[in-house]
Amino acid sequence: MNANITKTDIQADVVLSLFLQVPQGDRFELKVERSQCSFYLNNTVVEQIQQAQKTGVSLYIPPQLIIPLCYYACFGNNVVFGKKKEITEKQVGDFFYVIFLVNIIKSFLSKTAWKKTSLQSGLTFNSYYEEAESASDAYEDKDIILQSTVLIHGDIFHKIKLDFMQNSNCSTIVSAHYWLTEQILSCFRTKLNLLVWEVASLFPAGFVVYSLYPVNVMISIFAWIGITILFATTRYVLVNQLQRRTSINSKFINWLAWTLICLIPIVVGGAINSFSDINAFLLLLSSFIAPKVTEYILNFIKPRIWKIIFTLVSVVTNIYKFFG
Amino acid sequence: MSNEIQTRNRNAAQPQDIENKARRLLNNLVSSVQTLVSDITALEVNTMVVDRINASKFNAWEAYQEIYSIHDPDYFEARGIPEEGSQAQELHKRYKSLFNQIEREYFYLLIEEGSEFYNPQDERVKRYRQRLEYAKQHQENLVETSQENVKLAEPILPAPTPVLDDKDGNNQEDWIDTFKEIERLLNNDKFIRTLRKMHELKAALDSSNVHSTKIDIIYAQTVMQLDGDIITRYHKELFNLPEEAKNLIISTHHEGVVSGEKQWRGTFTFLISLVQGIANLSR
Repeated sequence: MNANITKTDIQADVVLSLFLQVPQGDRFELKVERSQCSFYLNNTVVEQIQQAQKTGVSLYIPPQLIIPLCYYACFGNNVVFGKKKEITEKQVGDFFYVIFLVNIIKSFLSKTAWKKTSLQSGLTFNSYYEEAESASDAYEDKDIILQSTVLIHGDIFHKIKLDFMQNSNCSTIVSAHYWLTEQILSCFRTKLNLLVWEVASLFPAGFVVYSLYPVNVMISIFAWIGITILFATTRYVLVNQLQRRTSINSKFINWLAWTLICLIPIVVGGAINSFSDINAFLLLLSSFIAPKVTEYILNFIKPRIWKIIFTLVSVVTNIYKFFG
Repeated sequence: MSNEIQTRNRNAAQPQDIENKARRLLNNLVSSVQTLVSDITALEVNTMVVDRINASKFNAWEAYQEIYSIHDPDYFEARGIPEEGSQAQELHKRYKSLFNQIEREYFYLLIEEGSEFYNPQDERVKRYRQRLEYAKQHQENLVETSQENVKLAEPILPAPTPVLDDKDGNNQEDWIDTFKEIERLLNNDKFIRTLRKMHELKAALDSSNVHSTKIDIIYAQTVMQLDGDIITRYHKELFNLPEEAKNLIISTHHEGVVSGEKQWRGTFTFLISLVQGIANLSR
């Protein structure tokens, strides 16, 4: 009987493995697969989490990881057999969106897949714990000490392992587990503002180029693009570093990093023309409010882009069907 | 010539076709969230202490097969679940109640107007009613092996494995129909919900050692009704535990309730916003 089902489900189960950064602490591993999320904890990480709980900082989850996290955690067939495939964080960037699009197109083409893809009826969170730090492969099933199953229609099961209750650190680990679960679930709710900061980097970069007065138009365009990329990467690195080393709330970190980025053009501009130009000032001012403006513009454009993609997909599938 | 027209016609119809498919996919999603919203009456948080935690994932087909097999008279023997003693009887009862609950869910689907399984004239509906009636009449002295009881106790749920029928040996066609019915059933949100919960409870009953009569106890349970009532129940066993363990369980449960409520609300708002997003997209 099972063979029958295997045939209709060619897709293998995918495990997404990634590392998250505890504020002011180490990184710990997280594995996400269909409706299940596992945390690999050790003594140090738990202590650091306790610290984070005390200071009220939240766990920073890079925005580019949120979509794959949601996708693997919430959607999937209820009936899946087959081999597991593991995807690491690095691969997410390169392949995920391609796989994601291919899967969507595939499900449009296949007659049965769309019927089967459904929301999961619940999410399970497992915490593995070992005293000393070790790789996720070293953890075994017996190391699961806590499990929370959240069924969305309103049932929650918390399971504690009996032996684990002798552990002196027990209650700290329990609250670390709850905290992580909350953080992951709240990340699903964050509004995705992809590309906002990257697009906003165009403004201060434009300011720098403007104050440099390049002779050639081509050169200035290239300089503009180059400096934009430079600013966007600097911002990214800055945010990551701030996340790692300080206990500032992740909401403010983005803006703090942005202000620092905006200071670069001020220094450059000030050095070159000592603020004689009023236009330069306007441009500078605009770069401070740039993220908000870009957010607004992107929110306006995004649905339209989706519509275009949707039309393109249907055209491609039509061509495929026509020849295939 | 006519051939050409046909191809052209087919082409014209296709974008519509895909759009319809996409729309249906979205509708599926939206309607599953809809049933979710309309059926929520309470949030229940359970805290259990178990010997072993299993990382296996929920698989609807497997869960259905397992819970269906509980109805089999040989189930307890085949699994090595003890049969002697009052504790064992209690355990059996708990197992059977899991099966009964999914059967009842199916019965409701059969009699609920508007459900895709609606079929009140079905012979199975009649049998289920008769069974209830019979159980009521013979409450005290119900002989499980009596011929009438055996006949009535035949599950109304579609069987997940081919059953040898008295009439025609092994009727393949029947079996294909049954299989399709189960597939449909496992795509029904309400049914899958009950199945999932029963699966979770069964995992607790199974424990690590099937040969013992020990039941993993739900030590504490808090039910938050939507109308504002909050009820917390503790198992009496909890108070037989050493002071330290007792306090630990109570504090864990308390924290679990607070965080569980947040978690659930989180998941819930996330789903709602997802549906909103889809609605915005297709505007």
